[in-house]
Amino acid sequence: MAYYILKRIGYMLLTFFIVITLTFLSMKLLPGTPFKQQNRLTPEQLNQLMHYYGLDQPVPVQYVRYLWNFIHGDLGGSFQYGMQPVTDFLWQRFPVSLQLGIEAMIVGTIFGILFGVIAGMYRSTTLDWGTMAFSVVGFSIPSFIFAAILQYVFGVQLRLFPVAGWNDPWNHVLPVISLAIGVTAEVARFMRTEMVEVLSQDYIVTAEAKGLASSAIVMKHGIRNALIPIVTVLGPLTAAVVTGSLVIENIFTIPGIGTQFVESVVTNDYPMIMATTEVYAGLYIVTIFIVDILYGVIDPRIRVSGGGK
Amino acid sequence: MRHKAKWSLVMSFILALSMVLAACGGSGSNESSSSSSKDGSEKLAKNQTLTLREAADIPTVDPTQSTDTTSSNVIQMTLSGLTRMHNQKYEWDLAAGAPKVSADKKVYTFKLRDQKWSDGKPVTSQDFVYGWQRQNDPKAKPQYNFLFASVGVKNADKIQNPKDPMYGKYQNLGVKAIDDKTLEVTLDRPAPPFFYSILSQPQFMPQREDFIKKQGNKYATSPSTLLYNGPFTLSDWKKGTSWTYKKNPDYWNADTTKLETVTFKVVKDTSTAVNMYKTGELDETELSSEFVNSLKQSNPNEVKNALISGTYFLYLNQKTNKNMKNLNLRKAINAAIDRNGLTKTILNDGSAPSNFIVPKGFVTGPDGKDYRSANPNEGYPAGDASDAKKYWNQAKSELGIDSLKLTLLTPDTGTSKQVSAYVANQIKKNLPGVTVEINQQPWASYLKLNQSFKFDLAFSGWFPDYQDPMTFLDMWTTGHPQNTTGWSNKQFDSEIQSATTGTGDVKKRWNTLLNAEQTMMKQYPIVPLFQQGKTWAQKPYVKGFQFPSYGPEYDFARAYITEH
Amino acid sequence: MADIKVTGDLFVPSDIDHTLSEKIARKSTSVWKDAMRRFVQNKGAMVSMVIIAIIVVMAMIGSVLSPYDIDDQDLTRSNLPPKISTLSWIPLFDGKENGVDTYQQRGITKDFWFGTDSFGRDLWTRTWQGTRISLIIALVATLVDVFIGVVYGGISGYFGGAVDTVMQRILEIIAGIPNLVWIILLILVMKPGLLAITIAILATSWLTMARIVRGQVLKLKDQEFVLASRTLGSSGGRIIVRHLLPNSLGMIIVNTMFSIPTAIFFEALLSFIGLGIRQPEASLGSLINAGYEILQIHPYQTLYPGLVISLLLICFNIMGDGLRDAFDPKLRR
Repeated sequence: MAYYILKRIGYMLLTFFIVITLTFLSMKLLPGTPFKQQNRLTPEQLNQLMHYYGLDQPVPVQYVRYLWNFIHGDLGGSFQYGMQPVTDFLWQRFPVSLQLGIEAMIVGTIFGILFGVIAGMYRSTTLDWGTMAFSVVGFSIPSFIFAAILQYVFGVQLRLFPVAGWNDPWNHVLPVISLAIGVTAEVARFMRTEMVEVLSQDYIVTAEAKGLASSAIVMKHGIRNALIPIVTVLGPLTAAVVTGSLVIENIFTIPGIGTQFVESVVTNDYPMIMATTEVYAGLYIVTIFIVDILYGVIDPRIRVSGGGK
Repeated sequence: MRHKAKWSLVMSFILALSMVLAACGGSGSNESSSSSSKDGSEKLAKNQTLTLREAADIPTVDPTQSTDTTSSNVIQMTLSGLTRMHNQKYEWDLAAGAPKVSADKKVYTFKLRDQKWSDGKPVTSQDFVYGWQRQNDPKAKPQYNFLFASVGVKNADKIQNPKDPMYGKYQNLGVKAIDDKTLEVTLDRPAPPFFYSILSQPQFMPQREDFIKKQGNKYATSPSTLLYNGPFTLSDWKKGTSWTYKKNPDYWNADTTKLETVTFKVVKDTSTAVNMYKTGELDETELSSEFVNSLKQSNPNEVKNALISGTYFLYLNQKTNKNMKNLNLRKAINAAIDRNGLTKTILNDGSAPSNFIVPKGFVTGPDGKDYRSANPNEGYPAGDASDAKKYWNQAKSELGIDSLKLTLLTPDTGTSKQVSAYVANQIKKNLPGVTVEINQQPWASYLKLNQSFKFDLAFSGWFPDYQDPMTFLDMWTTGHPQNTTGWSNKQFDSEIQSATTGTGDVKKRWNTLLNAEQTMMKQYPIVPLFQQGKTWAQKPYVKGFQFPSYGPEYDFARAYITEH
Repeated sequence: MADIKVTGDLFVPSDIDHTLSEKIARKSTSVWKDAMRRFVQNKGAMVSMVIIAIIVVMAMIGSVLSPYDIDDQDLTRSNLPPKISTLSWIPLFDGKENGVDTYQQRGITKDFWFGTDSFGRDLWTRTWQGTRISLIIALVATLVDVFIGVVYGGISGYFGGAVDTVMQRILEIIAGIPNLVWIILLILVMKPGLLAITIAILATSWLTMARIVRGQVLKLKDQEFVLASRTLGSSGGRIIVRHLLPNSLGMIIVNTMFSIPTAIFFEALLSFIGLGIRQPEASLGSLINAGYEILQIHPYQTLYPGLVISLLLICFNIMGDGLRDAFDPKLRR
């Protein structure tokens, strides 16, 4: 197990290193300087400024320096925000995104499990059919469409919830729901399949034969056994939530990493693009790592074959 | 689009460009503070709190780094320089009245008022010297210090030129502390008319050497690593969410400050801001075209609009596109675009069609009249759609072509996208045989393509650096880096040259600048499109709030809230 | 009841025809026919297929039904709500907004079925042209991704060993980057546009395909019929093309079905954050993005593109589910 974990950590670091390199190189391919008013400067003045920011050095030198600074927790200064350290922004914004993501994951997983269990228990009934129809719709339609609908109906028309912002708990309702719908749908689909499979197992039949109440069977045996494999969908779900939050944050004006990312893309703020990309990638890579480890604990065969997901 | 410096964030997705003409616009902005509370007709509300909206966070509060309107606004509200812009006019701020002027009009001696920094130390003339020198010290990485050269502060152009032996030797700058309260400024030539107004800009603010050195990298990154000496202090700055000002009771003119708290909320979407405005979370919000009509219906008395002093136009590349050298083709393109449709329907934000270079209501001459009332008010229109066809037919026979493919280069931001989609369609529609392809690029790529003449038409805008027609005109001289049309005219060049050096005779200079625009627009080297307008909603109880055409973007220094 | 005596001569020895034991009484069913049968029985999948077919047809001919082209601007008719005279009893198509008949107000006699945008461009034309662009991006991205995925997965799975390890590590690293980040970086470097979007979407979508094909190949390559073929001297290429691929085809088709909606989704997402198709062209995503900004004032401008994209995504997913169930009944959920 220790070897397995070490190996996964190695891959994790390697992947992250490649992400850093890729973002660095792609940013170097793009034109642009930190100076928004560069057209007002003479070429000589511009060169001088580039020199003072070390941007006139050869790319490999800049790359090594970037890595060196990165290790020391310095991700550079924002082009858009007068060279203020981008880490300042990340520290302010990351907790917001994390909170949004976690809230959506929790809400989505709880409802997903609920729906999945119900559908699995009442297989081939209208209830099952309805739940699965919801699940297909929730799975298919992009979260930003849900967000737009929720915002328009509950925010603008009915005025039940605030249209945007993040400070107040009421602010959380619409964005969390928009993001959670996809999670619910995915978990419900998965949970139903697991339930159906578990409920047809011999030990359930035995329990039934022993005369155990069906509610007890579902609670004690069904759900518990069906729950374990949920771990496997955590990876893809995190990716989906990360992707979704990017747009959701923008729609509901939530001051998270997603808003920052889109803003930096629009304003060509390269250090900020790099930093936010690295945060997203890091988050994703760590999640995948945790999922892999968890999965390895649950199913030892994985370790032997060495495969990921 | 390419603006001069600080005003240029416009092009970015930040909507908050603007300076508004207090004069036009019925904005409720012309109440002067002295009359406000004393005339008895209005009662001040107990709670003097104002909540405004900005589309993006403050880029920077370091005066050497500031290049945009939002940053300038924060600096101008929290710091005081020698002058302060209010109601379109400069007022003496830390300068205790007009300076003593030498006979050759090149040396100005200012006496300073008593004013304390927020840490209790007095503001001295040494702080001004340090502030100005820091703006000219390449190691402080200043980005907007060319204003020193524009106004002609002694040696500024040499200190800023890396090829000059004096490069970086900021000690040679024409500014000197005679004693703690006396500041001497020396210029290279007699002061231009905009000398006193430009002193209100962030670049000319005093800075505190000991404090900046002590803070090091942390300087100006949070409210606690800044010093204040202006009407307000920055009390809270939640990056990406909001920032809050508190009244500075130690400001020498604190009596005129009525507001206790001013909060700016960062709200990117206009639709969101409109909702927040309707529910009372905001006291003011700028409106984009779509929301103007809807708010005019729901809150008719709260929608205000005004012209601001930015203009938008198309560059016509006459350097690498041979066809563009044909005057009739340039006239045809000028005539092909219906600017009324553009401003009324697409923009719908109070913008006005423009056929001129220097905007309306921006600057007045020695006779007190607006530049535009002296030069044709409506500008130099080339005609309508039928004229366009006429010019196009002439151009076709002169050039021996019957069709033309053009690319329209444009930055990839909100308004630019809309305008270029419309302009491209207008040209296609009114000049049969012409096709226009839109090349939408991020700002940095846009600049690169524009400066290397890789376009036929390029959409751009220009906002003033100082309150003088020159800021809109000198860029069109031969070989000027901003003149990416390749257009060159000897008469125009000599007119600009004489206005630049001839700062001694104010009247003659003004007339020369009037003539220069006429000289230029005889040749239609660019296609002026519109002068930027601004439409916003403002609660009826907010008074004395200004969007001046030149000065702080949002001037709330003397605003107040009436009982409601 | 009379007694019946059973005697030996009541029986006649049957004529045993050994060939008959090999005879297949019913018409033989291939895996394909079997899958088709199951698929056709799946009502949801069939309905979805019909809806997709309708949308595809409309994407091809829809814009021809309207006299306006995609960049037909006329500011006198800007922001008109949808109106279909014959259906004007339906509130959605009465040409009224907030109770005001905008058409009458401006004296416009023509109908705009889906309304117009702020430039006065016909949204019917733009919606179907946008659908066409979205579908083209999805289709091209998916086809190329099938090709790359099959080749990569096939090689990796078939050769195994060191080749497989290296190829899998590369794949794992690419998969370790969230695909949206990957896509946006690629678009930034390539400059937004039709091609850039397609390539960026493609760059991540082939991963799943490669994994699935590799899994299939790994499973199949040790089975008896492959072994038999190899014993008979078949070359590696022949084994891949004749045995491994045909047997993986079901899974490949199913995955393709899921790739299309993913591609449509990413295109819309990119357009929604402003990195998509450029004016005056339109895609479903860019139309939704443009409409979203004025959702509060003119909701109809978002409604139709939103509806089309939702239908497309739902139907492709249901169809994908149907195909998966058809090819692998064990997986039936």
